[in-house]
Amino acid sequence: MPGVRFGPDVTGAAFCPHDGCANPLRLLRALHAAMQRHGAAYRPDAPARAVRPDGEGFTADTPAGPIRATKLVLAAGHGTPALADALGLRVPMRAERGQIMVTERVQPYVPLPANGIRQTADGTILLGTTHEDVGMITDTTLAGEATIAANAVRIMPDLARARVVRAWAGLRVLSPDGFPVYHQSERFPGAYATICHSGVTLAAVHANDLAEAILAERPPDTLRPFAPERFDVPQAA
Amino acid sequence: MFHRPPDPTRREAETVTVTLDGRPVRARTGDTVAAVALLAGLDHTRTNPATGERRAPYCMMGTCFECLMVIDGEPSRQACLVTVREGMVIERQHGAPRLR
Repeated sequence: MPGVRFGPDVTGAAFCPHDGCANPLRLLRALHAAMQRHGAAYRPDAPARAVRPDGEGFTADTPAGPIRATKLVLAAGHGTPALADALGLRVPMRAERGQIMVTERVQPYVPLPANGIRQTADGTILLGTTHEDVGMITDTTLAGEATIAANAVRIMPDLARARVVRAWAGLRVLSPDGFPVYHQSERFPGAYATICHSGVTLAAVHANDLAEAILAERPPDTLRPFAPERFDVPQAA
Repeated sequence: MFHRPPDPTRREAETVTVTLDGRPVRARTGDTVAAVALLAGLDHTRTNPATGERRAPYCMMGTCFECLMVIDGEPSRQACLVTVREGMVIERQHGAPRLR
């Protein structure tokens, strides 16, 4: 990392040419624009309160009235389990809190995105993160932020000069082994469930490979290991 | 542009000398860096990192973050919350600060 001064505790690093970073807000905006250009209707006024098979396909009950479809994909994050039972779908999952801090805009300093330290195009530096089992609570904590800051400054001491302007927390959507679950219902083959973290990291796979697999009604070999049957093994004591 | 109102007690104020953008300036003990910069006639104390706009102290009470300056080498200090000290080096902050 040219120009970066590392702390004395840093003895090595791993480099992967495939790593990169995306601004999640811009990615979401781009996905929405692309989806609507392909004719999709985005209905933020119609959250699915319940979904059910109706003989020929599926019906989602929403405040804007029922919406019918021949195929249905649950991709509701932590809202997925509440909708899954009626469709014969299994989505074992848990929430894991991650906290993030962002600094003021500073001159370009971090030339490559690193795990837990990355500078955005605007100049702000994102610092992360924590892995906390606290249920559905999205509060930030001073202890969590102190841990993040200490780790960042240990790796790059010059970061101590950057002012933190904001902190927030989110809940990762995790299966028991941390990998995605892509599941097709056996009882109702037109119903699918997808859970993963992160939807940003995996956006390209979901928009291309996964969407095509659902349209073709058969998962490619690469996605098959992500079925929930992998959890049907005896637990070691 | 700014001047200090007359002091009815007519007390002789103690002063310190600070460096403001390279030139020595006498400041009254107890004044904030923002007050000293305004009394010295600075028309701006930083430029905005995104737009380049010139900015100056506004709220004078730590809320608006418009008065960020480099004080003794440390960027993005709130000049309205820092009291001057003898020998203090105060600089305008041009755009986004450097980390080294």
